[in-house]
Amino acid sequence: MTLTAWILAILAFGGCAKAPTSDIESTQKAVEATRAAGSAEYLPTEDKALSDKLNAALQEIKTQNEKMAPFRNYDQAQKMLADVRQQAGQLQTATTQKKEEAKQQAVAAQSAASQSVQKAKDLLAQAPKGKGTEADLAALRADADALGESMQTVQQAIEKGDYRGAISKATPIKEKADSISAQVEQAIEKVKAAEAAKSKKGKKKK
Amino acid sequence: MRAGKSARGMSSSLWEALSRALFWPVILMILGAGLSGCNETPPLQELQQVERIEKTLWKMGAKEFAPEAYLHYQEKFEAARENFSREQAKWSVIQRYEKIREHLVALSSEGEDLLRSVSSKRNETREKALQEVTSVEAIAEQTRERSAKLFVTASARKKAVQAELLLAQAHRAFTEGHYLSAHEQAKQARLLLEPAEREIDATLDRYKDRKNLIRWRRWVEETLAWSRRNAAPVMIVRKAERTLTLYQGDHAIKVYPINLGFNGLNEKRSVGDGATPEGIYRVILKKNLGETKYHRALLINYPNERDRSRYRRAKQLGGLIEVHGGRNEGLEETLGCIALDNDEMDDLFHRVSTGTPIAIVGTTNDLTSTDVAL
Repeated sequence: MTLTAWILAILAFGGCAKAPTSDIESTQKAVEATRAAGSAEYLPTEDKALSDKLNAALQEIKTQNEKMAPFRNYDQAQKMLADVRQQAGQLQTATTQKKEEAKQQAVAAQSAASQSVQKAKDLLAQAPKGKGTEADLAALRADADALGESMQTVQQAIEKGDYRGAISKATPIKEKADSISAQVEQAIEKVKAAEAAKSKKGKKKK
Repeated sequence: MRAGKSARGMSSSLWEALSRALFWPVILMILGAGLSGCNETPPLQELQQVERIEKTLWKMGAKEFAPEAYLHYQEKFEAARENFSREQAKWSVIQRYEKIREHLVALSSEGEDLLRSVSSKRNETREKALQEVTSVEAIAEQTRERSAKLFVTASARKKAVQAELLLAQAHRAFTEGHYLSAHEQAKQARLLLEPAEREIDATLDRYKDRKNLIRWRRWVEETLAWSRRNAAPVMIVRKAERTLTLYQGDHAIKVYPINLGFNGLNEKRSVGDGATPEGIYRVILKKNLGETKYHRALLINYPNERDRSRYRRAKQLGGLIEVHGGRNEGLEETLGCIALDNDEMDDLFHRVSTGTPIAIVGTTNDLTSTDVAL
């Protein structure tokens, strides 16, 4: 067999495969975009799985790079990178959706808490002022004011994109505000009952 | 033609020599590829085991509970994987996985140890968080109960509300497995509860102070002595027990349950503080039906000389402290006065006169626990 034939055989056998650098870059960008969307926070398990898959693909490329040039084959690596890009796209979509849901829930929780606090304040404003209730109402007013101030932390959390944090702050504010409203309504009922008893006594005396 | 034949002959020999030189290396390469099945198997299982351990560590929160050790483990895992890849890349005939296998087995064992350590730290953190949350919840509950009965300033109250909100968040964080956050939030809540606790304790500590007890007993004795000398009734108000007792000499004629100011357990120092004053006073005016909106009333001479000299710096000491009715008409607390039920007030009103002494004290019972005051 001639030398030319041998050289041609070796080249055909080995090829001159190059590392798929553009695939690597586009895949890494896809994964970064997913992270930027918040995948680590909203879908941490899937984010970790994606990270592991990317590492495996990069490891495959390293493996091929270590081989002698004629024996390198990046087909498997390219398939793996394509798979990672596809999953990154899906994960980004899912993350955006989850984040949007969380945002809507946070805004709803904020609105509910705000309404409860306002209701408590309105009831306090209407509550009859009397010697027996003044101190209690003053205390409840202080509580309602504290809740009003705490609503700012909810808004700050929403602005920062910490929607879960916003919900965890808004929920107890609403509960406390509802409790204050219940106490004020009870106090109003008590005063009405006392006034009714007084006027009944007055009518009897007459 | 002979030269052409000679040149062709030389070239042919050269090609033959080169072909012979390259023949065996190529044959060996092909053989090597074929013989790779006879070499040691790559430690894929060991590598997968280390990978599984790494994933479990991540799930258990190793990044949170043992960040440095976890990072170190990840780096070792990456290095082991690279070594494996490097070996895989070699010509199969010369691949050697012995050391790599040993290293992976050791790494696996290290990973198991780290798993146990993380699990232990996680449990420890969980326990600490649970203790802190439970402890602060108990304090918050106590503060809530006590501040429903005792006066707490608006600023302390505000912080107590913030503490409640933080505790709710701590609860949620704990339920979701974020033990470090839960612990931290509970700790912050504990700090926010302190001002209210301090105010409540300051109020209640007055009732444990021996000097106060001695002074109060002395006032009661002076007032009873006046009753003995003048053969006339006197009134003793015990704030902790929330009673007004009518005495004739040393003999208690009747005990009336009372309500106090919204800050009644404290001593009155200024107008609007809601405290019920302490000292020896006298009835200076009797207000009958129609003369007061609280059924009937006995106006006393607060502030007296002692009050004026003691609280000289107070801008206004307030006044118009009465013993009056209305307690049974929803008057659960007053602005500093002493409230009785209307029928009790009727009874008392006819037994006392202008000039009747009234001693208002914290308590005379040195066994009074703060629970009685509450």
